[in-house]
Amino acid sequence: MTDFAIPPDKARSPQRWWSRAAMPSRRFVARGLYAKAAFVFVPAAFLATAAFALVVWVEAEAIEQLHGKTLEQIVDIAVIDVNAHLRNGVTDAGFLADDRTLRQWLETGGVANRQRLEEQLVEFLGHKPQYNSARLLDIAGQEVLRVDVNAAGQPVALAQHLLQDKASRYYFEETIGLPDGNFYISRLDLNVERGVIEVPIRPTLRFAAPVFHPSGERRGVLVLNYNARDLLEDLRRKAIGRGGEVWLIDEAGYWLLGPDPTVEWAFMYHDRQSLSFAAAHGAAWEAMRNAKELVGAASTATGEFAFAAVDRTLAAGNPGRATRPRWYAVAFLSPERAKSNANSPLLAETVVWAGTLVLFAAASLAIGSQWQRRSVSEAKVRDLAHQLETDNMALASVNRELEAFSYSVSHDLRTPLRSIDGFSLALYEDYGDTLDPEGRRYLERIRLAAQRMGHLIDDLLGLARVTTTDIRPTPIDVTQLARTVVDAVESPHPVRWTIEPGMPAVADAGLLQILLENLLGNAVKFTAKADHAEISVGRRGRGADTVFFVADNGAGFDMEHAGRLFGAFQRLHADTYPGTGIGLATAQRIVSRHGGRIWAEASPDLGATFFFTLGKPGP
Amino acid sequence: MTARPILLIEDNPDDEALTIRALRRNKISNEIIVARDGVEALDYLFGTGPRACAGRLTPQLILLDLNLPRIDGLEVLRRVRADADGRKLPIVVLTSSREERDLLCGYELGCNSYVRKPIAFDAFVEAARRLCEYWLNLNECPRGNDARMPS
Repeated sequence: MTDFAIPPDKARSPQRWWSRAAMPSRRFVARGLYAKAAFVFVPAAFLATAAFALVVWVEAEAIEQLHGKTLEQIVDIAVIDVNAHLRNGVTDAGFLADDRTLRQWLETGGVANRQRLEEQLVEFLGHKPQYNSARLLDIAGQEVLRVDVNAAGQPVALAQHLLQDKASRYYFEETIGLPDGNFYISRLDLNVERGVIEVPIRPTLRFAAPVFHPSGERRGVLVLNYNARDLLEDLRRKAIGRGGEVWLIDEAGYWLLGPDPTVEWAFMYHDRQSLSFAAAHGAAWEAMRNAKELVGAASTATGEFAFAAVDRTLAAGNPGRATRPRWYAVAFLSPERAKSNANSPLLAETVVWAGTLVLFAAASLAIGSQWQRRSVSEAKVRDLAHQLETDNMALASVNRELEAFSYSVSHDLRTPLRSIDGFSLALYEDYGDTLDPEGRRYLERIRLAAQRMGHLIDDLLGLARVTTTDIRPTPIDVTQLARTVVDAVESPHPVRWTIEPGMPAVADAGLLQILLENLLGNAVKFTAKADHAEISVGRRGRGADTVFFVADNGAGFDMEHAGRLFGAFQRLHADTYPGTGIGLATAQRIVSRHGGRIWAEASPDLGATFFFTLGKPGP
Repeated sequence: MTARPILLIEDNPDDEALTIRALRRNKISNEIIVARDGVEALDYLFGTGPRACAGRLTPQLILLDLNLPRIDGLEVLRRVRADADGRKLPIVVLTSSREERDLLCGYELGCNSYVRKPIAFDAFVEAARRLCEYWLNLNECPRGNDARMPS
């Protein structure tokens, strides 16, 4: 039989099944990290995704506009601007052709009238900087009067000998046959002076009106040279302002306003004849030429196009004319640009979005792990509390079992012993005569063994009781208690007792008495062979640090064996001194139940001192 | 005066034999009636069942073991003490148990003494001697206890 401490495996078994019960909880806690991170991450990621989706949507809208509407708008605006300029030019040409001064000069001739006409044209050009030349050609195409804006920006009438024959120029030919009230708007090209393209280039178009004598006789042509630079600049600027680019293409498919200055006006240069919109964007050019409407769009391999035509004949107010020269305002989106508009921002945003999500994920994990750490410690506290509760329940159950056990031990183990002893004695008494002395000694030994086992059982029950009874600490006079115990100990040999007066303690009175009984009983037992047995009870230190001691000058023991001293059934003097080996185990149990410590110092034949503290009284 | 019997309530035959031996060793001549469980004891005392002893003398002393089959000793004690006549009977709990709760219970239910059976038989004989000396000779019981068992 072992001692009555909770058997190790029994004590641990609630621990074990608790651990099993705790495992799912830990798994839950581990899963909890990701759950918590997700709890942070999912809404954040959702918001981020929503924000990015909004951005992408807005951008896609913008691209869509640029793609379609914006391109259309750019060309619409360009055409409105061009037409406005053309209308102004036509109006100005009409005004000059129908002017009274011109009519007077045509009717009457004369230097004065000519002078007046020249002055009037100078004044006109002075007010209208978009024109750099105003001329009057006679019916044969010879310049008869010309005012040019000179290099200094001043309009000046040219001397007679500087006037040229323009009979073969297309603007003369196109205009001379027009009926009264009709106008001619020339193509747009670069100004050429005496066979050389003027540098810096001067984009020029000509407004021309036929001039009639008041009698209705056709007399010549009025020509206004219009500097289109401002118009073109205006178109370019406005297109850029709308987030795009506008080109102006002439009826032959050449760029007047193009993606690059080097491709503009190529028809003017022998070596650039192939640089045309028509050549670069053949499909789009075809679509534009074949369009029935003045406006349209084309999507070709070379890009997205929106175009609007300017019908110069229409702008000049000659709807009846067969030839309908046109300019095309074209807004263009290259495939690369369309693609980059459509994709690369999306790609960039996807990258940013993914990056943001990664950041969020990292942040969520960080927050989650912080959160987790806290909830793990909370869970630990809960676990510990639960474990404590479970342990307490297990302990209570073990205690109950132990009580039932010791109860039945106290009854059932003792009863047969009583029979053994009783009937051994009965045998001895009733039939002793028929036994020889050896047989009677055997009976005696049987009885001794039974009685010894009875003591063992009693001591074990005592140890068990010490372990299981509730502790009720109260203030105790240890001195008084020691004296009571000393009185009760029936020492078979004389002992000189020394008990320190006035030793207080807080302890369970019943258990402390058992402790002193054990220690003093031991001391008495082991001083049996001493010449002058002396036992003292005292203390060192005060208050909670008090160390009590019981010292004797008895048999002592070798400190080598000190480790075995407090184990149940450990006896250092088995043969010489009686005992069950449970007394010190009981003493230690009592001390440890008070939260104290017990130890001994001894040497063989010089006595032993047992020290104990009562610590902080346990609950 | 006829000596009234001693009622020994004991389920263990060894203990029964040893107790009787201890009593006889002390020259106790009273009739010893043995009940081997709580039911038998109550049948005897309250005159019911086959072992009813109506008309016989009430016991001068009851020696009661606690750990009994069927109805245990403490319950026997409780029922006897619940009876007006039974309350006057001297009952000594004679048991192996020294459990605190048995002691407390025994006294709470009104036992007159609580004696733990020693293992050493000579100690038991000595205990029996003292018990009988006290309860059979020294102690005075109410007169009513001389009455015969109710019929």
